[in-house]
Amino acid sequence: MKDLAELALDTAKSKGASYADIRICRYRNQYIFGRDRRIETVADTEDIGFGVRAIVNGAWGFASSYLLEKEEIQRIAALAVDVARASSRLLKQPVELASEPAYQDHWQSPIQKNPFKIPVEKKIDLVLRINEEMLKVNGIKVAMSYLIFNEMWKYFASTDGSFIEQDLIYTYPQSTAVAVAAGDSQTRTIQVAPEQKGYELIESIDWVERARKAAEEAVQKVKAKQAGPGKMDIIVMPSQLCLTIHESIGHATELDRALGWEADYAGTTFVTPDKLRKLKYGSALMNIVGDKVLPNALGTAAYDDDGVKARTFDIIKEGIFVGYQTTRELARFINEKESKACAFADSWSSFPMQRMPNIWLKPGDKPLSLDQLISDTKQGLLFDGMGSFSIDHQRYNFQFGGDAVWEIKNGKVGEMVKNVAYQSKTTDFWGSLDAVCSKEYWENWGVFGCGKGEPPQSARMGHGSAPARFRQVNIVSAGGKL
Amino acid sequence: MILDEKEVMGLLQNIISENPGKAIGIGVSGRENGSTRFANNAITTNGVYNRLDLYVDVTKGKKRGIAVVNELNKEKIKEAVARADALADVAPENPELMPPLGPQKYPKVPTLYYRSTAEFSPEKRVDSIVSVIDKAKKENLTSAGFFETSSGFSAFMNSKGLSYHLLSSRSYFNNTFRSGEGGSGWTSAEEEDVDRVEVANLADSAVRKAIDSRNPKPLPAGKYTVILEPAAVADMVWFLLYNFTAREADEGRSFLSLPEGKNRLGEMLVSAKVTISSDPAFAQIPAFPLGEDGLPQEKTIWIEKGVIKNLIYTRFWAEKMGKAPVSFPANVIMEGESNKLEDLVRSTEKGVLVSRFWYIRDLNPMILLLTGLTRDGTFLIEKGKVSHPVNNFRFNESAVNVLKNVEMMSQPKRVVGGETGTSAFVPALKVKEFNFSSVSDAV
Repeated sequence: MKDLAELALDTAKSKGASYADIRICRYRNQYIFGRDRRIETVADTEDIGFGVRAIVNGAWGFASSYLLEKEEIQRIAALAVDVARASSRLLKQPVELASEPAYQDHWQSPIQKNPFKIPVEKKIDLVLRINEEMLKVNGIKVAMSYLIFNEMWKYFASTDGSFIEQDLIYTYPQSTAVAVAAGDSQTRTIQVAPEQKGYELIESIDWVERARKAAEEAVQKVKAKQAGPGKMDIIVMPSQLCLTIHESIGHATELDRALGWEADYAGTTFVTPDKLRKLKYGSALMNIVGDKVLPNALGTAAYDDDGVKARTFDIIKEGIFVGYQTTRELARFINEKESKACAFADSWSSFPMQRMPNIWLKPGDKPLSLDQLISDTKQGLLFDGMGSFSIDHQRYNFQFGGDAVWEIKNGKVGEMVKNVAYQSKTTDFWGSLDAVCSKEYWENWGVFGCGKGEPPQSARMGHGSAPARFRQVNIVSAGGKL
Repeated sequence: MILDEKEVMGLLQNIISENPGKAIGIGVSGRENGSTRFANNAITTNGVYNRLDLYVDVTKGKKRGIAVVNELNKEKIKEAVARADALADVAPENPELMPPLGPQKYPKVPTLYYRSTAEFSPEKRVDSIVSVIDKAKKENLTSAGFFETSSGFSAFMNSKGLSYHLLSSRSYFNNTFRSGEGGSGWTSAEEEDVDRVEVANLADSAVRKAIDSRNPKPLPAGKYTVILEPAAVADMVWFLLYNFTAREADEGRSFLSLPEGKNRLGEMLVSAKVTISSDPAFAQIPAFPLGEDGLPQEKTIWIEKGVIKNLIYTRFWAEKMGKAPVSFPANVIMEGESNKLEDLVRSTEKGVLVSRFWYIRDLNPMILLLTGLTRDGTFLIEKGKVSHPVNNFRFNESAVNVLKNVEMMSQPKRVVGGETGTSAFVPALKVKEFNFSSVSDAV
């Protein structure tokens, strides 16, 4: 592989590139989907290819191909140089990459059981057992389950002298029960986070028990009363806060957005560079970390797709915004000398861009259990799991639903409610954070398919937290009739 | 790399011949993309992307296995067939699996392939972008955007004699202009023939929006009469049709459900002004005439004068319910009226003009309640005139209510939905009592 990589780099250099890198990638996926008592899809997919980036006269060029052959590598490397040259006509500021040592390394997800070596029959059997258990519950109309296993193998080499091989494995199970009653339909999903783990993730869950519980809750939900509107205290579980962290902090603190690079599609951000180390993002309990080394998290790797060694860094400290996510190209725009290792491309055929690492909320310093937090809440709502989600293009106004929501009355979890969402402004919401449970309650959640860029790319990243409480948040009702 | 049709079909025929007695389906698709992004009045990325995929399914009675690889050498093809075969062996019987189709006759549609697009070079993309950036600089605006041209093929053959080979090209152009005074304008276009992408007009119109939307004034949330420009309507109609499946309706899981497993097919659900159809042969927005599993797809009327005329029936559900299968919409065509957008504005005493939507998601499928935001130019209309720009809003509104409350329409045109990124041939709509649930500070 090194020979092929060197051929690309030598070709790019000989054609005039001041910098070049190549990623040779192989992706394997297995997808098993079952609806009710039958398996609808059993599919294995594989995708191999390479992409070459080159800088010429300070401008980027990129070309890629699925044909991993010497002649094609030379052709594509030369094409990347030609494309860069065409781009340099409209150069405003030449690309300058933050310096980074050269690495020769190999890294692999620390999995225990390679999911691709587990017989497909075993996985099919599990999907059918989960669905069967859900369908046993009276009121369940449909049960849907899938198992997704991914492997991303990447070989990165650059003219800076790096040769890095990484092999990442992900496991993503999901099962949903659909209840139908009295003119309504509601769903409940088994809350298991996708992670960078092997089949041990699947084996660590009591699926049958969880399936029955999810199905029973789906039936409770369809019969539940509507809640809202009004202002209420809310306790948000890690499975739900995951997406709020992702949308209102993760995307908001991307430096490429802050610089206007995503203005045409994903948008910009209210967190403009003049607010660095000044903006009060939330309450003093809010400590947010950017982290590409968190064990088993979806965004973890040893190196990013710029070849930068993975690291952790503060994004928000005691409520104050202190750090952007950056890449080698972006770092200099905020006068930083090093990249924060946030470059990622979702395919060999994609241009690496700034993507979130794992971004998570630190647990509270003082001992605080979920039970204590609920006991301390007179009236409010408890949100679990992800529901509807939407946020504006500068990350001010958001609205998030839950997979399941319960009332809290006089310090106790009460009845389930349905068709509710919380709507707020990012800094108001995080400013209302008044309690975060302690570290025993911290959970590693994540987003498996986050879209960004043109052409769109999909990335995955972890967003862990402990249960947290927010005071007097605007609750909207999503009920009604046609 | 676009392989020659004869070469591709020969390859597919060989694979089938080498696997006698197998119920096998083989698909090959390939695409060459070139795209350029720009932001802050300069190019940010520029690339060329080639893809090729080989799809194999093997069916054994009611069991099916699927394998996809992206290499076309003999060894890999053999491996993919063996993998799909092995998966079909272990897959349990799926009583809903429909048998592979035999030969089909497809309706004729306008060409979807243009050499002008396939041969559009990175230099030409850059030339277009230079002209856009020049306009931004002239007006003291900041531009960002994306220009992509691609061409490709998709071919399929199975052991029962179904076969097709499709060629297509696509050009996709977006641009956004932003001013320092809180103004923003956006336009987008998708065309099969890149020569029909009117870059200068698209840029001029987004520049105008960016200038006109500067210094927005506050307007509280609430229910307003709105005029939704076609790009906003495209998203609303697509979200409606995403949810037009008969099975979900019959299972009691959608806004189209009625008690006792019935659905609203035949019911007058929205305004009598509303007629929505799909037609792959429609010249302004052609599409491949193929539906589920390679079924032919012709004109389908979804809503006619407010009445639901068709729902999406998969092959299995159609057979179960004694209906003919109806595939997912090939495209969206909504009838309009003879008005111009200005006529809609002129007829409005007080209302809000919405240029486009962003980040639309379902909130409640039983009433098709959607949430999302306005973006890139939102204006107050007073006494028949656009009065001034206003803040953006979040909406929580049912797409069904939107179409129920249509008061007036413009002539339709082909546009791209800001959220869906998909073309539709739709008019602007004047809609009463549209619910803006909160204000967004985003500009």
